[in-house]
Amino acid sequence: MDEQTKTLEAALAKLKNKDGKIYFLTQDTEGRAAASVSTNYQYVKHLVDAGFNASILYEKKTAKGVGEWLGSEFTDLPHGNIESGELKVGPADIVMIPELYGHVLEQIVQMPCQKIILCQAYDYILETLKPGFSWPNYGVTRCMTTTKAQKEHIKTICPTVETTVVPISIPKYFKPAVKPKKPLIAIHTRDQRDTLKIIKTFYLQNPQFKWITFKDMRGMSRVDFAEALGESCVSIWVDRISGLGTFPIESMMCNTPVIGSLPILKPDWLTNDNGIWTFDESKIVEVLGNFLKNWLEDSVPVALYEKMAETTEQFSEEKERDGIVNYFTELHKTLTEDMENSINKLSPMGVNS
Amino acid sequence: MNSKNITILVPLHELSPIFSEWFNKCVKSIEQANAKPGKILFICPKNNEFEDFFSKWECPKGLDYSIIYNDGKTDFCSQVNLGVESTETEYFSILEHDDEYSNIWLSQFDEYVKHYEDVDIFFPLVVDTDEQGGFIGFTNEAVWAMGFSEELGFLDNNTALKYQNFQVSGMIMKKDKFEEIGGLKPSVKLTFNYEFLLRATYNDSVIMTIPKVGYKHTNQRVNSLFWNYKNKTSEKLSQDEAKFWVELAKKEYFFTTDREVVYEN
Repeated sequence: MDEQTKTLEAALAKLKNKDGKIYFLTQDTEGRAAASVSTNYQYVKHLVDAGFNASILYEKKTAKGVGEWLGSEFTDLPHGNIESGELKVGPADIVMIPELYGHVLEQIVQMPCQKIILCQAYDYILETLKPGFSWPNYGVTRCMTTTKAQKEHIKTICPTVETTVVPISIPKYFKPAVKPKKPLIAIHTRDQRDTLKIIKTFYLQNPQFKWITFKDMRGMSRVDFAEALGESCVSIWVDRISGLGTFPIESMMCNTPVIGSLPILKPDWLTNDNGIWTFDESKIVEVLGNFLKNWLEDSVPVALYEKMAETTEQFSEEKERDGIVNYFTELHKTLTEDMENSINKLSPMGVNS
Repeated sequence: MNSKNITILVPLHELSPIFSEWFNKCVKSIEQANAKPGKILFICPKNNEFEDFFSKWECPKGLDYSIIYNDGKTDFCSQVNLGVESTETEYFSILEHDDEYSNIWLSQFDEYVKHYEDVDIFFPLVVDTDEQGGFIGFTNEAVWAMGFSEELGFLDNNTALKYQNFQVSGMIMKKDKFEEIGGLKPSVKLTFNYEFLLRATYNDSVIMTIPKVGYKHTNQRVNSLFWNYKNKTSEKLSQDEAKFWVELAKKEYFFTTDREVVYEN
């Protein structure tokens, strides 16, 4: 048996035993909460629980991790970093690369592993790719994403890449406060300038509501974030380039209605009646004023809350777990078949047939 | 706990030409409420005019009411104190005859009291309107402004000392607590409302504003008590006198008894 065949045989055994490594390359947010990072950790947790050899991979060994904002249950998951030379891979190993990490593709193009893009924010796909280059140029043939809308978008720029939608979940601590909601407005915008602009405009246009407080949802631990969202009576969401829109889903989990500007790429879950949406960002303040008047009079339509509850059903931890575990189970099957075929091709006639 | 445990006190003072128009609107607001009170008490002066009015008046169906004829002092504070004395439920609420409850006020109380059992006084968010019903502003809302009071949503003594824009009309209060702290003081002419809240907070009453519109208050209705203080030549208050009553409230709230007060120029 030659070296190549031996390597493939060893890889095949690893795949069959679920020993192949699955690295989720993860952005170091330096202690700041980020939904995309949280999703990586969730996926790894499900895979580890299901017996896969999955781990979180940072670029630098100084990466701060998520202990401060995501919770201790995630800090115990397997971690590694590229800087320390921990990324040693073979044909049975898989590296999940965030869409933003186009530059890493160049560095690992020669590595004999499966490279799969994990696209949670379609708007960053081209951010670090050279003009005219796309994922297949770096040996990437598969992509995992979080919405059908993003899948369709990916098809337009990388038609040969096989893209699969895997659901995400919202942690169970995103829940309504036990006590009645307070006149607090949770606000989350991609650009902080938008937050300040909305707050200042709101008070100018609605001086009668100057006693109502906005809560800027930046820089909080996930649990504090969930608690603040749970006690707020409404949330504001402005993120034109959002891929999935974790914040409005979290808000709905907390039974907190969302007033938001429609993202360019409308997420699958967003319907006409599960939130209060506007094309025109400048209308948000007016819509918020009207909403608060209704809330103070307890006349927000019950149907809105019902639609919110329906929407959140698709983001259960069970569905996410099934989605991610099925994806890698199927992938392992496919890789196993591919590898057996390769071994067959390399073997002398009759040996493996 | 539910709204049946509330007695609504409607203190009445005099029959003006348009009394019945205001009064019927006020009672209709109880009739149209999502939740009904246990009892309504109309406390009015004992005179022929009121006896005649009530002999002809028909209470909307489904509302249980009684009339108390008072042959003593019939100012606002005395009428309320008498009403509380006759209250048989755990809570009472004050509804002025020219004001209205919102249809959600009593049902909101039902909801909040489940979560805040230790609260002695629930303020409604009061919408102040002019006589035509035009919006002027909110009252009792400030406790929900971040950093305003010690605890978001609650009124404390330090905060009350600095800010006076709270009112007792519309509030739902525990009868026992009202009696424990001494009720309203008729002697504190202009600022009885303020003095009462200072005294309530000083005596550890837990006061919370339910952040829902619960009460529509007609501000400065012609010939109302406070309109007269501001506009009626014979009763008009000077700035000095107004200041006197505010300062008086800050001195008197330490005492649970109503002490005689005389203002001299």
